Amino acid sequence: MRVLKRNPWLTGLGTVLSLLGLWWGSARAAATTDQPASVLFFPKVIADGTRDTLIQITNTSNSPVEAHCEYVNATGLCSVSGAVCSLNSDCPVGQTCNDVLCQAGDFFIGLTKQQPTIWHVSTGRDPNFLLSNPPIGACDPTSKSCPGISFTQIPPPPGGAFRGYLVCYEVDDSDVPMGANAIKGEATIQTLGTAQISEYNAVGFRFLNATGPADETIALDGVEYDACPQSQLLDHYSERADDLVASSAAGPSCPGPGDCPVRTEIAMVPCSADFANNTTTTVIGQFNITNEFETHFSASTNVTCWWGGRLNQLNPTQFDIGTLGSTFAKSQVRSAFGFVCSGGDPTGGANNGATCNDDSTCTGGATCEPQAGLLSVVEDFHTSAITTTLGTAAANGFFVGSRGQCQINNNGFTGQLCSTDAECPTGQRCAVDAIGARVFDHNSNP
Amino acid sequence: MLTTRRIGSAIVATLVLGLGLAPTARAFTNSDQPAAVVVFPRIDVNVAANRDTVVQLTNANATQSVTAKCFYINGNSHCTNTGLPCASSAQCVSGPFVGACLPGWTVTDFLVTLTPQQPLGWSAAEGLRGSGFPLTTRVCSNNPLMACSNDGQCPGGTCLTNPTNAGSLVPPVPETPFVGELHCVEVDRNTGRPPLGANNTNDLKGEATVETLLPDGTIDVATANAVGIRSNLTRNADTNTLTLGRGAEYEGCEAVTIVNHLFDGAVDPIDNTSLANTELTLVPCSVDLSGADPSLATSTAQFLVFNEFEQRFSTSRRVNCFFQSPLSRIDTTQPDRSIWNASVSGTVAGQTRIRAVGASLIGWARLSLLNSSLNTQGSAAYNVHQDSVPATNTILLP
Repeated sequence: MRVLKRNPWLTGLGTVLSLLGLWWGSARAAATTDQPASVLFFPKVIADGTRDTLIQITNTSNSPVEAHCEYVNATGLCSVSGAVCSLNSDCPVGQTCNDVLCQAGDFFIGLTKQQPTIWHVSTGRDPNFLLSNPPIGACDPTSKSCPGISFTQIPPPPGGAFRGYLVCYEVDDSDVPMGANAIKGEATIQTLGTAQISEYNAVGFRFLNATGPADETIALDGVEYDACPQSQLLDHYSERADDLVASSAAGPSCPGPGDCPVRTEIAMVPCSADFANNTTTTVIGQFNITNEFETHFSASTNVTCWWGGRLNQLNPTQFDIGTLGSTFAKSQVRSAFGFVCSGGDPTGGANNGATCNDDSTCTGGATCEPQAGLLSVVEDFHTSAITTTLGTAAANGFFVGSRGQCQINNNGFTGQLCSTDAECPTGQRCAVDAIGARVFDHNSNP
Repeated sequence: MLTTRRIGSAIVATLVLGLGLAPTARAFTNSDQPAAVVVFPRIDVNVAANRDTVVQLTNANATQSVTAKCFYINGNSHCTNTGLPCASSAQCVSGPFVGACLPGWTVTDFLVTLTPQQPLGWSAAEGLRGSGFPLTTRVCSNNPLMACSNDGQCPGGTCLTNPTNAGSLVPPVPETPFVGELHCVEVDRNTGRPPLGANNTNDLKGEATVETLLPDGTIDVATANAVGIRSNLTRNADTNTLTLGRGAEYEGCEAVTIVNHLFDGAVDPIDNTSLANTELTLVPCSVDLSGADPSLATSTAQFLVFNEFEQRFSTSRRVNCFFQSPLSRIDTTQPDRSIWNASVSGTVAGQTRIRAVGASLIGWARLSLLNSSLNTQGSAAYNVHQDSVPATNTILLP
């Protein structure tokens, strides 16, 4: 019998690799709101005639970067009044919010090294070479140009009145996604006719795998890019609870109990999107709500490409102070653990979105996969029943765990890391997300 | 000639170096994950100006209570002759005498116990005590508002034995006006020190909302997340010295902080009327929370400012314990001449990179808009970004 002599260095190498593998695999990198990244999600962008949004994106590196951006408009029209809406409850009683098309519109931006840039969503931003005499420290409201290096046109979002989200991802010169982890962003939402503003940081996904394939699929799997969080923690006032400061001051805007209620809006976006095939993603968002008495409540809603509204529109009782009984509450939001058919061709009879146990339940080329992850931000509206004035403030959620793990249907994560279904035991699926990028259309954005 | 042994060594060294430099799950402080230490860089109370800060602190642990030892650090300076808070010596005039305005940095500490998953909020001006805490006694399972000591007192339910907030006390800030910071450290309730090893979990998260009731009835609110410093769990030692950095007990604070902002005096691109002003708050990551050694919390902030033309400006400023200033008053007493003024930078938006020499810096920013024609104002706070590598810092508990 031939005996292979054991090489102590190769054995040591194997040991080191195993240890590094354990260390490397011990935690999936999660999304971030305070570090530069390669993909930025702005979960709440509003430009609907009552509010507008200022987007800031900055290149934090010493090399130029290019980014491909997609607006997704989730507004519709009320069935009778024709008013802009995104939920049925935005419309008068008895009417429904129709034609929410999840319309996407893309554009391209280039940033020189360390360059910050801004634009006003409802108007976009024209290249600054249109300015013959640029104003200092101000944008030109007529030409929509601002001082600074800007050679590309940022168009207004698609569909007129806009409520939805924006995602930007770094690309190379051929518009193929690439990762330099160089961009960061903020969104400032302003209530028109006032100076009231809310600001939050974009949610970033860092590129992790420098040797990964360059293709048009951005895999948010914890291997190629950061994975989406398993859930998010959001602290907020109970719906209709009085503002703690205004109520204690008992000033003119809040003379008595219930006169200065705080209302909270939440915006939610699925982590997965397919811009290449223009398909929408639907997720069931589930809420575990805890009041200050450590009592738990729950609520859920469908999120189709975007959900934005007040907590009491999501559920009229579970977030209300009458139910919760305490001023503050904590909500943990995540997508449901059930599997759904996804990825099929809708024109080919795919039953995308249908619940399933395995691929045999899905049609039209769809496969049975875990629901997409969710990203969210909250915005508080501090109102006064007396003066009708208000103040607003937005906040990023806190991330708990990360996807990129095997998931059991209707039962959650197993803890086993993965990036494909093949890495999971039979019957389990790998909960990962992806963005299907579309190649930039140069003809539509000079 | 490389021997087999040397080749193996080179491969191992390369792999260790290569993988060691590869991106890890998390290395910095963060404002988006629960942590073992949370820092609220700005607590702002001025009762006369109708300004207060609402602090929200939450236990993210689903099964365990968490005790947090918290420390208000008073960033006010005081007049040597009157003892009153001041911003400059010009405010220390008392009759014919002019006093000096000297920083003090006094510390006020307190304990808060949070039950599993419990959110808690309080006004910094008023604090929270006694019955203000939600769970001071055992309560009925079918009515959390009904106190009980046995099942017989809960018709149709049981008297829960869940943990309570008993023993917690949040004092009001020590004076008004007050401006300063708040640190909360997860501790073992029995020892008052960080729990040993894996018992030190990353369970705390928080938000602070600075609210001002304006004369026109508007409620100006600005919210930002607390900055968390996560424990490295098994590396944690049960001592009063918390070491921060790569491979240390806690994750390190970043060496570079990045702030995106509108330049001061820039015109709001949305309404084309309001003027922007940004206020920056910086606190050192290293701090002696016993108050004995303020020199630990010192640093020099080196600022690099970029406008949209890729032009670069720079300045520096000393940071002792607590620093707060409008951007355009960091480098000069004449804001119109500041490198952060829109008329100097020329563009609307800017990026400021802050490199700390000495203790690392934790930051918050607050954008304010003032619309003179509508006579309205509003503001929004936001967390700043971080870059570079984590640096070594130390937090000392009393």
